[in-house]
Amino acid sequence: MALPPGVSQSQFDDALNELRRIVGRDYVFTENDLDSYLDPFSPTNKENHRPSGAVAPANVEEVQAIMRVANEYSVPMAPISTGKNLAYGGASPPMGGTMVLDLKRMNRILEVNESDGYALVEPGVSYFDLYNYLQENNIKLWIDCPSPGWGSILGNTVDRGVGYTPYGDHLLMQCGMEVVLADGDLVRTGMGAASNNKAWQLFKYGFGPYLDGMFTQSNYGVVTKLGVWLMPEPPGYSPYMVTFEREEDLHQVIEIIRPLRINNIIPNAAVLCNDLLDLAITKTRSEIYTGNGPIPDSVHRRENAEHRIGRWNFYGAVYGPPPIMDANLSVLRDAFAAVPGSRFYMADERAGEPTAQYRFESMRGKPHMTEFSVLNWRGSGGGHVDFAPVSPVRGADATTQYELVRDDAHRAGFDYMGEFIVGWRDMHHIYFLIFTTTDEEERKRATEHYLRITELAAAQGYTAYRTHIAFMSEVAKLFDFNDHSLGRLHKRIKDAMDPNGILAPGKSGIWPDRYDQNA
Amino acid sequence: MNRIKRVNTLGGLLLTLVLGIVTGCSSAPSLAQDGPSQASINRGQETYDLWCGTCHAAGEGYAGTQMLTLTRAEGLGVMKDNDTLTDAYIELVVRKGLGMMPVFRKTEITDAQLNDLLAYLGSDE
Repeated sequence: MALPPGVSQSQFDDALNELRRIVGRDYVFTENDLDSYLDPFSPTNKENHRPSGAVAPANVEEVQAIMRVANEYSVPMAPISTGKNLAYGGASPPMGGTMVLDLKRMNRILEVNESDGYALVEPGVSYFDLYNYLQENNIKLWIDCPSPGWGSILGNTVDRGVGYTPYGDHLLMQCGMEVVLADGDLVRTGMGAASNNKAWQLFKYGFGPYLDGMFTQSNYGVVTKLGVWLMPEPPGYSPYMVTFEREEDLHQVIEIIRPLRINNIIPNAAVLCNDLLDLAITKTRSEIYTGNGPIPDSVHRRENAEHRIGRWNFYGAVYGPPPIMDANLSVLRDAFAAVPGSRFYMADERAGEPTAQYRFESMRGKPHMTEFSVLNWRGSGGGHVDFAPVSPVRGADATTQYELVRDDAHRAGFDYMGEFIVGWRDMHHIYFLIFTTTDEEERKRATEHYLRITELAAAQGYTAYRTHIAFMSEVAKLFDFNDHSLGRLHKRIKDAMDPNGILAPGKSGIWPDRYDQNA
Repeated sequence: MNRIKRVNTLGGLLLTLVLGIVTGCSSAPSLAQDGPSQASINRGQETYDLWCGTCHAAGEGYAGTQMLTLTRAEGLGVMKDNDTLTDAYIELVVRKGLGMMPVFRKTEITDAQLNDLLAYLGSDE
């Protein structure tokens, strides 16, 4: 059994007994049960992040009691919501030997307010759960979900994930949270801090310092409730797809997208993805090319022609009353027509195509698992880790990033499969590094490639907004303004809020003194 | 489509036979009494719909079906239709994962829900 670092066997056994008294014997997991908390897609050795145990509370009071026990026995505890943050570490803790605080049992949808357009959820509520609830109760609100949709609404939001509808910036649409602190104290943020308030899920900022962001991508507290705004079902919804023939069209396409997005003609977190990402929904690499090395242009052209896709494919949507949708579609058609060889398709022209269909469904908040198919690209045993830098919405920036990642991927023996998700002012560039999890040499190559592009991209100003637990300290070090002053501030906050250093050591490269790997 | 039943079900049948002989029970044990209840099958279908069908349904765009179609003999790509899968194998894959299929923890699919799922997969529904 892996022990928490610095904790003796007897100390740990006593802690486990206390935890069993809190949640019941059935919900404290040790030994063989811990295999299910390992990251199946780890690019490094997944055993590096094996937890020492797991405990699954049913409610906030149990979470508070668990944190008090964790402090008393100095047992580090890392919360997960549904544990489906695959490509970023899944259910595993950042530091091996940490216990996992598995919040999946806390899966209540506490409130859905149709007239004000929000929901209040616990960590264990997945996008599928809330979507099904809204459908079953005929509530005319849409969720915004990432791809795939089996993750936690709360968990994805506090990891600052994104979706594909106009509500695609998940943290922007978050309103109010409840947090259990490292010492077991219970806090509600925003207007929820006033016990008789009426606007906890309506007004984000509350009174005094606005703290919600502190509990995202951090190890400062355990978020146990989260408010999220939901989009009212619009009177009309019309998705579309635009294909672009040439690899070099990327520059011009992004330049066209920027003013359209800023002016809300593209109102949603629309996606521009490359052809291989689309092809991988229904094909494996060996089905289109059996050679070694990068896939030749001739094969790209052949497959693109057969599947009526482009080297780049843009998926967007218009929403609202039909006259407004028609007017916006007219602007969009004219704008994209400036790219030679581009083709504009409405949804009915792509009927029955799984790739287009799941994209169209994503942009109206319908969760799916379709994108999981890309993991079959290299055959059985597929996994992935995502490289996710952000940048301005500029053609030059997109091209620089794309070429940097593509060229290094090809040198390392991988394919470029990626997309640009266009936000309010930025682009999230998501590169799907698909590799074979059962091939140790390939995993090592994938890790080296990932770390190399992380550094190379950061050197040109494209730093990641999110990363895998194996790489968090490396990415944290890239934030180097004023001799890493942000990292020093993170540490000062950590020391104040969690003096015993028991909450998720290493998350986002924030280490308590007792485990400080930066010291 | 009836799936190969787990060993403990066979053990239950043997125990019933032994007890029948010892007590002088004149009626033969009914195999139907060892099968899962309809309630269990129904619950299993709910678990299947929530956790499995999104990757293992028939058709294009289902990741699990795609991989099984590539790696298994013809006609065995759709999990519900594949009667060569034993309960023990399904249990192992659910708890340990296989390839790109991640594991399902006991907080996601409890042991009881897993038993119901096996009942559903082994049924003709």
